[in-house]
Amino acid sequence: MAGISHVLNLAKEALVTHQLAIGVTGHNVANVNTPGYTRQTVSLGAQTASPVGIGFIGNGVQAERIEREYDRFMVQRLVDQESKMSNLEAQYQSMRVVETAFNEAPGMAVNELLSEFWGGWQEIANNPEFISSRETVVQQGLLINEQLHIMAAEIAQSRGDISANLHSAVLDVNTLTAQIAEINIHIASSESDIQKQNDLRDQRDQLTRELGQFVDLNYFEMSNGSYTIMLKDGHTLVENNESWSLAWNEKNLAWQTTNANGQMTLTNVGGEELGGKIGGWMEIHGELVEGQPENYLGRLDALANSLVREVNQLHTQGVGLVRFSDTLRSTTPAANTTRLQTTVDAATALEDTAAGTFIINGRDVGRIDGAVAVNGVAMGKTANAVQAINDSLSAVKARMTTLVAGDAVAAPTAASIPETIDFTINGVAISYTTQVGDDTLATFTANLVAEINTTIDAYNTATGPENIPKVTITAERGTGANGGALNSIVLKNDNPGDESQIVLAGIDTTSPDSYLGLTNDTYGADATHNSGDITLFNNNGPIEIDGGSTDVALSHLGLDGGIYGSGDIPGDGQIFYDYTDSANGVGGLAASMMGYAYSDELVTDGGSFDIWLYNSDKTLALPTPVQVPMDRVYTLNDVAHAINVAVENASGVTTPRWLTATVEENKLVLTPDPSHSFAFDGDTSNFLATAGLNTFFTGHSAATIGVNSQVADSLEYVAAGQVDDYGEIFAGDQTNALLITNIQNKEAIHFTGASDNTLDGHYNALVATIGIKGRTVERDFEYNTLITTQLQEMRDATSGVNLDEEMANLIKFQHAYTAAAKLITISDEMMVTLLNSLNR
Amino acid sequence: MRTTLNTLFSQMNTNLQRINKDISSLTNQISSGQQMSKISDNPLNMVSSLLMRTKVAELAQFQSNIQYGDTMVTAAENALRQIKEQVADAKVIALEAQSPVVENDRDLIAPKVANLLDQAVTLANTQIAGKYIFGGLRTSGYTDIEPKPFISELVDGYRLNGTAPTAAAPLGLNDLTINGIGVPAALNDGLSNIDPALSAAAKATAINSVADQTGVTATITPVTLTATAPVTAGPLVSGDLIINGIDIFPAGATAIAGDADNVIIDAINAQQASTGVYATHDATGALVLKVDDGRNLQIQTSDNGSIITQLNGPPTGAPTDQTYYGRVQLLSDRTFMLESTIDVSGVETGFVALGLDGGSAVSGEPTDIAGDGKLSVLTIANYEGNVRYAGDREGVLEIKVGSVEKLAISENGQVALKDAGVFTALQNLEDTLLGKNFTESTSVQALTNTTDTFDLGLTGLPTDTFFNIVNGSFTMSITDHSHLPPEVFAARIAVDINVDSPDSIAAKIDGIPGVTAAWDSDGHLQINTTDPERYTMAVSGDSSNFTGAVGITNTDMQVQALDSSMAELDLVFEALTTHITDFGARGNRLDVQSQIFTNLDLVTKAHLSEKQDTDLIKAITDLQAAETAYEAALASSARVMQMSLLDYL
Repeated sequence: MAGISHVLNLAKEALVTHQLAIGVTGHNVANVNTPGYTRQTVSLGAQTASPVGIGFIGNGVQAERIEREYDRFMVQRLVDQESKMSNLEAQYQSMRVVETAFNEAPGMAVNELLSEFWGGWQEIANNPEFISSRETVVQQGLLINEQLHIMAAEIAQSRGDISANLHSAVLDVNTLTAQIAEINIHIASSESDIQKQNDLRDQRDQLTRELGQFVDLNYFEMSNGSYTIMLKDGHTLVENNESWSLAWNEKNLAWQTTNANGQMTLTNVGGEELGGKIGGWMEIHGELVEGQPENYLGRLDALANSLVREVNQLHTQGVGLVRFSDTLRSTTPAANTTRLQTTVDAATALEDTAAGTFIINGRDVGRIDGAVAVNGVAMGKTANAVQAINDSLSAVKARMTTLVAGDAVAAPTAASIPETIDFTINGVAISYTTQVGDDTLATFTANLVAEINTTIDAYNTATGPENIPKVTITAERGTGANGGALNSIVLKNDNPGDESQIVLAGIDTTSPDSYLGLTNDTYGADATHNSGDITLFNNNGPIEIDGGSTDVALSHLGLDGGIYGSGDIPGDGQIFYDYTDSANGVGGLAASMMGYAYSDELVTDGGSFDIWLYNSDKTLALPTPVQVPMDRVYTLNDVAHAINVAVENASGVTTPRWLTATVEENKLVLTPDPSHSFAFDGDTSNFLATAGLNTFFTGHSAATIGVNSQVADSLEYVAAGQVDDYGEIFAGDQTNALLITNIQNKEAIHFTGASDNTLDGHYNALVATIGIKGRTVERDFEYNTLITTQLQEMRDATSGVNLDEEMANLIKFQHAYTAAAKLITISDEMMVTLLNSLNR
Repeated sequence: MRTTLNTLFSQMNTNLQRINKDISSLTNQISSGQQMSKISDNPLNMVSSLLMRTKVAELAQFQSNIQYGDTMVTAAENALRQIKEQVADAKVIALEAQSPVVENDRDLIAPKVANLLDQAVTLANTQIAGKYIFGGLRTSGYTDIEPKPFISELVDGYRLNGTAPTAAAPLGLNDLTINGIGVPAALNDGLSNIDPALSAAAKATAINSVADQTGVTATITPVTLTATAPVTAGPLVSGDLIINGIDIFPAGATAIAGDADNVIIDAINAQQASTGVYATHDATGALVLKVDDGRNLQIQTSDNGSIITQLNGPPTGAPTDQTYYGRVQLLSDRTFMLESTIDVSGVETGFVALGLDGGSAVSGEPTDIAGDGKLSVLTIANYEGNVRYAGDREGVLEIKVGSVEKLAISENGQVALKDAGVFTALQNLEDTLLGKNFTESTSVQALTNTTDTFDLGLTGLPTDTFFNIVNGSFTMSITDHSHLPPEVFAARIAVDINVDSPDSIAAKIDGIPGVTAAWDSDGHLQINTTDPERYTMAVSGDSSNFTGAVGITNTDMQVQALDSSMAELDLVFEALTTHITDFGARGNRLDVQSQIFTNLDLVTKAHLSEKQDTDLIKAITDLQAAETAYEAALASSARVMQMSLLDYL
C-alpha cells in the first residue's frame, strides 16, 4: 500500500542495496590484484509491486544476489592451458639443464674430443716409436672419459633434481587436493541456491588451477557444488570431502588408495601422459633414467659402449713397444652372475603370450609366440621366449641350452654283431662295437649312450697332454619326453644356458653308423635344437619378473609357485631371484663368462686367441703362437685352465709353466715365469676385449668408461703394432694404430638399442634429438605463453576487475545512494509536513 | 571486449620480456661471434656444423700426415739418389779397371769400391727423426747384434750347419718339427744305391716339402771324403774298390805311390755318371772323393783296396763297407726353432738325423742344451763381404689420407736395396778387382780342333813358347758358399799332352761338382759354376800352361768379370732409377693430395663459418631494430601506466 512509509521503506531499501553495491564494488577494487579473483556484481531487481487502486506500485529496489562474473568454459580452458603451459615449462627448464650437458655449440665437447682422439691415433701411426705420441692419445682418451663422466654426472644430477622436484610437486598436489576437498565441504554445506560462496569458489578455482599446473585434470561440479577432480586417466583425486594422494618413489608415480582391508595400495599412474609439471618432469626424467637404451642416457651409454668395444677389439689384437713380462690382470672382473633356469611348460606350449605380459627388470617383454612341443619339450616356444626376453634389452639375458636328438636308434640284427660304429662329437672320436644283446633296441641305445658318455669323460679327464677344449656334452636315452623320440640318442650341453654348438661328424649313411639315427651337422641352439630350458642371467643384481598379479602367466614359462627367491610369495605373479638363490638345482654362477658387459661379443664356437711366448732376450720361445681355444668356455676358470693347458702342451714344460693363468677376485691373472714374456695376437673369440686384457679403454658406459691403467701408466703398452706372422715385434709397426683410426669412419658400428651408425653419426643424432626437443619445447612454451596470455585476457574480459569501471560504478552507486538518501529527506519532509498539520 | 588493468600490465610485461629476450640473444651472438650458444638454438645447423668441425679437424690431421709422409718420401728419395751416385762411381771404377794398363794393380783399386760399398750401407741406414727409413716397420728397436737395418759382414737370415751323421740316422714322420710344423718322413731319394731314405738328399727333400709353412729351407753339402793317407803303390784287382756299388777296377790296375799317374782317379771319374762321385788328389797324393749331389757315398774295399786307396781306414782283415752321408744346412729369413722327438733312450731322433744332437758344441747355438729336444736358431754368423738386412721384410710405412685410404711412404730395404742388388753388385765388383770368386769364364783363345791330343799341335793355338802346353796339372778351386764358413774343394786337373785333348780337359773340368765346362761352337772354352750364388771358382798352380795357353787364367776371368760387373751395375742403376721415380711419383701424389685437402679445408671452413658464425651485419641491424622496438614499448607503457580514472576524480 502506497504511503509515506512506503516511500521511506523504499528509500531505505535503496540505501541498503546501494550500500551493498558499493561494498561489492569496494570488494572488487580491493581484490583487483588478487589472483583468481572473479569480479562480483550485485544483481538488482525491483521489489514485488503492491496493488493499488490504479494498478501496481513498485516497492523499490532489492539486491537479489551477489554474482561472480564467471565463465566456466573459459576457466576450464584456462586450467587446461595452464596445465599444458606448466608441462612445457617443466620440460623447458629441465631441458635447459640437460642441454648444457650436451653442449656442443662452443666446442671442446665429445665431438671435438673424439676427432682429436682419432687424430691422436694417426699421430701414433706416424710415430709409433715415440712415447710422446702415445702420451697424447692416452691424454685424449682420458679427456673423452672425463667429458663422458661429466655428462653422465650432469645427467644423474638433473635426474636427481627432477626427482626432488617431483617429490615436492607430489607433496603440493597432496596438499592442494586436501584443501580442495576441505573447501568442497564448506561450499556444499553453506551454499543455497541463491547464496553462493563466491570467494570460496574463487579460492577453490584458484587451487584447482594450481593443481592443474601439476597434473592435467578432468573436473566437474556436482549438484551440491563440490568439485570432483580426476587425473586424465580417470584416477580420482578429489570427490566431495575426500582426497587421494600421489606418491613418488624415484621411479614411478603412484596413486594411493586404501583397500577393503585398510591396507595402503599403490597403483602406478603412468608418466608423461599425466600432463602438467609432473608429466613434464616425468618425461624428461624418463630420458635420464638408467637401464633404458632408448633414452638420452641410454644412447650416450651406447656411444661409450660402442667406442670402448670397437677400440678394444682392435687394441687387444695388437702389441705395444714391449712384451708383457710381469703379471697381467684383466681390468674387468667377471661378475658373479645370478642364474635362474626354468623349463618352459610343454602343456601350454601352443599358447601365445601377449606383449607386455612379463616385465623383466623394468623392461616389457614383447609377444612370445607359442609353438608345438616336440617330444615333450617346448623347443619352439623356448626359442621365441629367449628371443623376446633378449629383445627387451633389459639387464637380464636369456639363453637356451643346445640339444640334439636323433631319430630312434635302429637295433642291429643278432647275426650282424659285432660291427663297429665310428663317429665324432665335437672332435671326440666315439667308437662302439656292437655286442651280444644289442639286437634289443633299449639295450643297444643304453649301451651307445653309455659309450658316448664314457668316451667324452675319458677325453675330458685325459692327462699329459690334457685335452682342450673340454667337451661338455652328455648323452641321454630318448624317452619321448626329454626332447628325443623313444630310444633315440639325445645329446645335450651340460651347462645350463650353454648355446655352444654340438658338432657331429663321421657318421656314414650306411650301417652300422646309420643305426645311430643321428645326422652329421653342426648344431647350434635354435628353435629345433634346445632343451626347452630358458636360463636367465643377470650380471649385476637380482632377476625380477613381474608376470601380473597371479602366477598364470608365469606358469607358462614354468616359473609358477613362488618357490624361487627367498621370500618369494607364491601366486603373486612376481619373482625376485638373487645370486644366492637356486632353483632347479642351478644357483648363481661365479666368475661366469656371461658376467661381462660385453659377453654378447664372445665367440665360444671356434673362437680362440693366440699368445706369443718370448724368452727374456726377446727371442721367440716358441716359433708359433700358443693358440688358446675358447670353445665352450663357461666361466673364467675354464679360460684359465685352457690357457694353462695350451701353454703346457705347446712348451712341453710344466714346471715352471712359462705362463700361468689364475683367477683372482674374478679377474684373470696371467703370470709369466721370470724367463719368459708374452704378447697377444689373433683373437677371434673377443675374449681379450671382453675380459679387459691388453685393452685401451675400460668400462662399458658413459659413467664407467676409463683408460686402462696398464696403458695409462706404461705408455709402451699402447698397441700401435701387431705381432707379425713370424712373431716379430717392430717398434715402427703402425698396423694396429691405422686400423684403429678406421673406426672413426666405420659405418656399421652396432649400438645397443639403436640402429647401426658411425660413432659420430650416433652421437650427432643424439645431439640433434636433444637439440630439437629443447627447441620444440622452447617454441611451444613461447607460443603457449601467448595463448595463455590471450586466454587470461579473455577470462579477465569477463571476470577481471577494471578499476575505471569500478570507479564509475562506485560513482553510479554513490549517486543512487545520494538519491535514495534524498528520498528519505523528502519522505521525512513529507512526514513533518503531515505531522505539523495535525498539531495545528 | 573488456580490458582490465591486469590485462594491460601483463601485455606490457609479455611484450617487454620478448623484446628483452631478442636483445639478449642478439648481444650474445654479437659478442660471442657464434650463431648458436646452445644446441637447441638451431639443432639441425648444429649437427651439420658438428660434421664439418670433424671434417676440418680430420683434414688438418691428414695434412699433418702428408707433411710427415713428405719428409719420409723426400728422405728416401734423396738417400736412393746418393746410393745411385755410388753405383755410378763404381761403374766408372770398373771402366778404368778394364784397362790392361792396370792389369796388375786391380787389387789396389778394390778399396775404392769397398769405400763405395761402405758409403752405400751408410746411406741405406739413413735415419730421419730417429727412424731408419729403409727398415720397413722396424724403424727402430735394433739390438747389439743387429744395430742397424743394414750390417756389413754378417750373413743373411739365419743358418744352421748340419753335420754328417756317422751312422744310419732315419728321419721319420714328425721326428723333426720346424717352427711348429712337423716334417714328413724322408723317403728314398732315387739317387743313392744304399740307404736311399737316409741320405742328405732325402732329408732335404722332406724338409723342403714343408718350407712354405716353416719358412725354413734345406740345402745339401755333398759328401767329401779325403783319404787318411796318400795312395800307396800296388796292384788292384776287381772288387778292391767298389764305389756306390760300381766296381772301379773290374779288369784290375796298378797304382803307384800318390797315384801320380792318376790311374785311380781316372778310373773313379770314368764311372762318375754311374756313381755320382768325382775324385781328385790333394797335395799329398791322398784321394779326395766328392759326391755330385745329396746321395750317400758307399765305399766297399777289400783289405788290398783299403791299403792302397786308404779310403776306408786301416785294413780289418775282411772287406770293409762304409757309407758316408752328406750334410744338410737349414736357412731361414728369420730365427727358427727345431724340435725333435726324444726316444725312450733319450736320443733326439730328429736331431740325430741331421747331425745336430749334442747341444751347442755341435749346433753352435749358445742356448742349445743337449738332449732337450729343442734347438733355437738365433745366432747370426759372420760372413765376409755380405751385407745383412735386419729390417722388416714385409711391411712398409703408411700414412692415413682418408677414412680408410692409406698411402705407402716407404719401401723396405729388402725391396728397395737388397733385391735391387746394390750391395751384391758392389761386392762382386770388389771381389772381381781382388781376383776372387769368379763364376764364369770364356777362354780368350778360340780353338779350331778340340778333339785331337795336344801333342799333335792341331788345336789352332798360336805356337810360341808362351802358348806351349806341357805335361803337368792345374788346380780348379770351387768354393761352396752355402756352407758357413765357405768350403773350398780343390780339384787337380792333370794334363798329359799325349793323352789329353782340349775336349778331355773340358770333360775333366766338367766333372768337378759345381762346375760345367765345354767348348762352344766358336772354339771357346766356357766354364761356369752351376749356381753362381753358391759356387765360385778360381784357377791356380798351373804347371801345364793350359790355362795360360787357352786364356782361362784368373786375370782373364777378371777382365770378363769386370764386363759382367758393369752389366750388373747397369741393372742396379736401372732398378734404383725405378725406385727413385716411384718415390718421386709418391711425393707428387702427396703434393696433389695436400692441395686437394687445402681446397677442401677452405670450402668446409667457409660452410662451417656460414653455419656457426654470426652474420654481424644482420645481427647488428636486428639489434638496432629491437632497440627501437624496446624504446617504443617502454615509452607507451610508461604513458599508459600513468593514466587512471582515479587521477581525474
